[in-house]
Amino acid sequence: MIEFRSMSFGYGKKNLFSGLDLNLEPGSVYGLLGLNGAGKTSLLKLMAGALRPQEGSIEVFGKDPGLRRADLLADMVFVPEDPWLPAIKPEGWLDRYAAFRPLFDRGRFMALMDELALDKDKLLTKYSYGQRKKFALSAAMASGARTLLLDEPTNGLDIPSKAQLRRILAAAAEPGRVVVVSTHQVRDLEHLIDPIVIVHGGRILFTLSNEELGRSLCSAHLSSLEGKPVVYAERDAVGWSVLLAREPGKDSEAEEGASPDLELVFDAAIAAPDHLTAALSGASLPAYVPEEHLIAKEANR
Amino acid sequence: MNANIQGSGFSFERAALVLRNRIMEEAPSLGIGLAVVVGVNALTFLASRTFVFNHDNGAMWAFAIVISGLLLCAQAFKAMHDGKAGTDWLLLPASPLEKFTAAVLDYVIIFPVAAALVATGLSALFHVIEQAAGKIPGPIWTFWNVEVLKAWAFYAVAATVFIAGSASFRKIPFLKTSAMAMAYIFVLGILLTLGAWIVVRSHGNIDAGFHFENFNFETEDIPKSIEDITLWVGRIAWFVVLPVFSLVYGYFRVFEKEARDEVQ
Repeated sequence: MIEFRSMSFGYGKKNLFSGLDLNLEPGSVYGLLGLNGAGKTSLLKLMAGALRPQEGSIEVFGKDPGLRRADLLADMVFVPEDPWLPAIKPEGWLDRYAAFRPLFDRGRFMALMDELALDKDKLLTKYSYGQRKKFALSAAMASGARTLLLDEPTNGLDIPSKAQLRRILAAAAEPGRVVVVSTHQVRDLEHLIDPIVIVHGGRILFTLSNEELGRSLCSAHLSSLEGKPVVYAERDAVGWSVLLAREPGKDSEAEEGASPDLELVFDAAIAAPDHLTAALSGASLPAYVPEEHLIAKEANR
Repeated sequence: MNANIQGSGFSFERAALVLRNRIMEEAPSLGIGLAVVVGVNALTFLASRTFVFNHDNGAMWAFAIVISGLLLCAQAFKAMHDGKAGTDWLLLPASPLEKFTAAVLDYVIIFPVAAALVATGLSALFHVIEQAAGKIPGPIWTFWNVEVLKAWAFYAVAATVFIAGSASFRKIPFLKTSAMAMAYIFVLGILLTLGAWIVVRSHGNIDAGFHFENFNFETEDIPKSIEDITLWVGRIAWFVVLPVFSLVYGYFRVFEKEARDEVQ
């Protein structure tokens, strides 16, 4: 379990988080979503202990990560967006670095290397960006750690590797393990991350489970917004991508998508948090259309 | 599974793993350093049939070991400060104390001992080659004598200072630490000279000089007891206060280190 209590953090005089509270329970793959600069990576680093809060506290399975106790460090893995690897071969890496992790599963690691088609005879520094990422993710999955912190894991991966990553991540979501994934590319992991945590303006704007979202919202593509319970809409080339409120007593699944598009949910959370809150609580508000999409609509007329 | 690797307290096994990794990472650089020493000696042998390091009382061996050791000390925490590798270094599953201990053991004991053994071996080899070339060979340099052990004692204290400097400074740590040490020595020298002047003046002699390297005052008027006290104060300051301060300060710099600033 990861627990932030009244946590404040910033860089120099720039305050990034103020009085942040957040609980992340084991058994879930949390999707950490936020705009560029919202502090997603900083949050992951705070959980890992690479950064320390200025006020308040953070606990990971009851321990302060800021103390960097060896046992806690061995029980968590942080995979940065652009992983650093030493100039040695995978076997050498296992001897030098996996030795610090008592629960590291070498067999699983080698199997993942094979699955992700990573060259075992190549220097790690000769790996491409995507290969370094796959290597770091393989190491994380085989680490036996209860806390996995993954920063933009799908960036730089080719399409088959994204599918492989989804499969590997799904297998990593064990009951006693907390997996936190920060991502911009929410569609890559849409059916995997649950719940989503939306970070904006130095606070946690929403923590929403798929079940909660699916109960209140669905997404659809419409040619017109008329006559539909639209919560949020974005214009695209051929119509409108919309978040619809599910109408009580009506089976929306028949005509619209079963679960809402997470990118639309994220956009709605940032642009119209009140509308999203109202929709989640069953209240109705007029559809929110971002100004730039209204202009596009007028221009198309 | 090794229980000592798992524990939350200080683990010698983990510190040993960090130390082993350090040595393996440094091996290529040390190999280059060794090649430079051999190369310089080979050049002088080609020019004059003598190996320069084996002459001049072997001072160059000691000098090479001390300088390369201090340069290594100044780079002890380079990876920790690195924008990319730094986060990995901080999050390697060993405590800050284990990581710091590994660095101190590496540069205060293992490097000088290993370098001295290699130097002795090379010196013996050079001696034999010079003899075979019909020259009067220079003496074989060995580390097992009082002068070299004294030099090691000096080096060990300086090493702790440069390790602390490495923990503090991200860029050009060797130069910054050297500059800071020089500044402290300068200020301390002025203070001690002033103190000496006051003490000596009270005894009617203002022509006293202070020898920092020996911690003694060149005067006939200072009572022997004050000289002795000054000498011991100096020794304690150099051999106890300075390394203890450097080690504690360096450790806390490592402990409090955070990943480099970046907002994503």
